[in-house]
Amino acid sequence: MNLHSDKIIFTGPVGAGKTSAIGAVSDVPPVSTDVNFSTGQECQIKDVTTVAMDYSYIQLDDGAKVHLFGTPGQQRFDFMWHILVEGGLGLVLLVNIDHPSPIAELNRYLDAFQDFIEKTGVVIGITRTGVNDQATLEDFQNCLLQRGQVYPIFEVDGRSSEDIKVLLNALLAVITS
Amino acid sequence: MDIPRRLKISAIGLFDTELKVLQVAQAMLEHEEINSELIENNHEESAIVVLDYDSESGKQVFATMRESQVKLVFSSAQPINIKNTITLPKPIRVHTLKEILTQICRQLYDYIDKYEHNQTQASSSAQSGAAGKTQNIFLHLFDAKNNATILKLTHSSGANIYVNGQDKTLYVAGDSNILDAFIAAAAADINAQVLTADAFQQQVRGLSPLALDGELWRSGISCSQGQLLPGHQADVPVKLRSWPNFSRQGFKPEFFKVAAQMAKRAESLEALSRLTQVQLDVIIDFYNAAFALGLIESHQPQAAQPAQTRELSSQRKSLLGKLAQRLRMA
Repeated sequence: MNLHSDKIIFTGPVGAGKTSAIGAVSDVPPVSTDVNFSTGQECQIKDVTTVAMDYSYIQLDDGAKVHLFGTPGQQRFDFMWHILVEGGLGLVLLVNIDHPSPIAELNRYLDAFQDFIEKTGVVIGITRTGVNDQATLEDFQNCLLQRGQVYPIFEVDGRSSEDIKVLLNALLAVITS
Repeated sequence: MDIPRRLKISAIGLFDTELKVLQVAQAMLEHEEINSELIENNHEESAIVVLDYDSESGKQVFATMRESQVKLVFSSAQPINIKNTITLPKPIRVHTLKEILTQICRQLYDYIDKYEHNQTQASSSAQSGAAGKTQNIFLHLFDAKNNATILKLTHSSGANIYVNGQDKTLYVAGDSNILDAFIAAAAADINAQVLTADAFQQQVRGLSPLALDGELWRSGISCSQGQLLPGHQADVPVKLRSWPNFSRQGFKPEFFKVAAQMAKRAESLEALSRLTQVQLDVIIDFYNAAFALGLIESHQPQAAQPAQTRELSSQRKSLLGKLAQRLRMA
C-alpha cells in the first residue's frame, strides 16, 4: 500500500472513535488494514511487523482523493505514527472523555505529534461526552492554555457526519491560515 | 498619604546569590513608595514571580503559571518570548533588578486602580442602570454575567426569562421558542428588572437551568449586527485564547477562518477583515460572542511583524479548496 501525501490522519487512544469518525465522512466504509513492513521500506523498524490501521477516503468532484488514515491506537504500535503522518495535510486528534486519564492522553498525543502539528495543523475532538466524564471541556481548554497552544477543540460524536465535518472545516482553516 | 496595596513577589528556584540580590532589590522598593512582600516557593497568589529558568524547579513552575502573572526569568539561554515575561541574563545586578521591579509594580498599581474604579462604576450601574437600559438580549445577558446581577427579562408578549449572573444560569418560563423570540426582539421590546436572590429563587421554582454561556454565544452572534460591545474598538489588537465549541454552540461558516487567524497572533478586527476577506460585521459578531465567553485577550499595539503563513504548494491549495467545497456545512 502506498502512504499517500494527500491525507488526513486521525489519531487518539483506543476507543476514541477514530474508525467511526472516518466512516462518518468517507465515501466508502473504512477498512482495518494489516500492513507488512520489511527492511526495504521507508520506516526505521528492522523486523517484519504486522500492524493495523483504518483507511478510507473522500472523493472530490474532479476525481482526486483525500485519504483518511486512522493510526493504531495501541501504544505498542506508536512507531507507526510518524510513518503515517509523513507528508500529510493535518491531524485530527480524538480523545474520549471517559478515558481514565483523558488530559494525560491529550498531552501525550500532542507531544508525540508536535513536529507534524507545527508544520501542518491539528484539531481536537472530545468524544463520548455525557456518559462517564472524567474531565470537562474546560479542563481540556485549560490544558491547552498551559501548553501555550490555541488549537480548535470541540465536543463531537464520532458517529456524526456533521460533527466530523466541523472538525475537518476547522482543520482546513488552520492549515490554510 | 494612603498606604499602597501590598504586592506579593515570589522567588522560585533561585540560587543563593540571586536570592540575595532579589532580597536587597525588594527591600529597596520601599524607597520608591512601593509596598511589597517577598515570599519563597509559593507562586499561586503572587502578582510577580521571579524564577531561575536554568533550574528544574524554575522550569516546572514556569510551565504552570497563569498568563496574567508577571514573570521575571533569570536565564543563561535565549530570551523567552511570551506575554508578561521578562528575561534577564545572568549575572543579575541589584540596581537593574530594583529598577525593573519598580516599573512593574507601578504599572500594577495603575492597573489595580483602574480595575477597582471600573468595578465600582459597574456595580453601581448594575443596581440602578440595569433596570432602565434599553438594549438587546445579548447586552442584557452580557451585563448580567459581567456584573454578577440577577435579572428578570420580559418580552413585550409577556414571556419571561430569568438570568442569574452569579452562578451563570438562565431559566426560561416556557418552551425554547421563547429564547428565539428574545433574540429576534428589538431592544425596545425587552424590559429588564433587577431581582433579589430570594425573589429569583421563588420565580424559577420548577424551571430547569440552562448554561448562561450557551445563550450568550447564541445571542451574541445573532444580535450584534455589526455593533461592537461598548468600549471596544476595531483597531485594537486582540487574540483568541481558546476556540469556541462550534460543534455545540453554533457558528457561521466564516467563523472558522476568523478563529484560525485570531488564534495565530494578535490582530485588530479591521486587520482580520482584510486578512480573511470576511466582512467586518461578521467578525464583530464572532468577537462579541467570544469576548462574552472569556475567549479573547487584548494586546497592546505591537510593531508589525511578518505574518507567519504555512508554505502550501498551489496543488495543495487547490486540493484543500475542493475539500472545503465538499465539506461545506448546510
